[in-house]
Amino acid sequence: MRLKNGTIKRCLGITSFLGIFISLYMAFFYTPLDKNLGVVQKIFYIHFPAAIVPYFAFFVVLVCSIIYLKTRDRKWSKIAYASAEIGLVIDTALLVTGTIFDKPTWGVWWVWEPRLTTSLIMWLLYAGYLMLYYSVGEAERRSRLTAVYGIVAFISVPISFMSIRWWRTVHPIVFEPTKIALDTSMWVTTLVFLFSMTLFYAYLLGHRVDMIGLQEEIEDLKDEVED
Amino acid sequence: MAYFAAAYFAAWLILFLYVFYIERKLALLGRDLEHLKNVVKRKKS
Repeated sequence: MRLKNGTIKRCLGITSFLGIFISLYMAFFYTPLDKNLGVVQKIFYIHFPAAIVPYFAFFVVLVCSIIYLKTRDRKWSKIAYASAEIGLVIDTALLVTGTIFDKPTWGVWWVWEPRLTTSLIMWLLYAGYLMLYYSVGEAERRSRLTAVYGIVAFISVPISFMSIRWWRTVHPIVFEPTKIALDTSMWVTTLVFLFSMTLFYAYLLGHRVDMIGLQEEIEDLKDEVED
Repeated sequence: MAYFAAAYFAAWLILFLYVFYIERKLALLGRDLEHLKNVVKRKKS
């Protein structure tokens, strides 16, 4: 499925890039310096959206996989694949910023504690999703297998999200139902960043789905030329 | 400061490399599609 209206995609692109620049400005100049961590705390503003957007992307994989299995319409399979790939890329940014954040705050690059471990498992599961997608040649079979895998792999998302609440961990809980461990300018910046990154995800999703559509069109034309 | 700079640099590098990959691949696929359409048109005529 292609996002038919190019204007929507252009608007999404411009808005998300503008939003990211505003978020960066807010993170660098609007938010105060943290008393304990200093400038290192500002990594949080990119680390947090890089954690939440993949959760959303993998949720889209789950929903599209279920819809595909019900309708057998391959456009849902394409959206699911595109979402998984983008989620994985942003999740990579999460793991990288996380390890860089760990060193000055915890004194080590990596700790095998629940949040980090479950995040890595989630990353590996969705890397497996992409490997499965490319390892099956026949389109219908590939869509069916990745849909089932996409549903099963989603189990890692709530486990990763809840890990800091379920188990003893050094990872801080920033947002709780009763209180937010940030001052107003900090959480406003975090939300603006999160919103911009979600738009950026939507912009990438439109392009990635287009790319899959083009690849399939090319394959069809190649078959036609060979016949 | 070095950790802060490294984290932002690494995150944006990953995201912009991905955007670059998508844009480049889309351009190449568009070119391939045009070429194949011309081949099919020539074949039919």
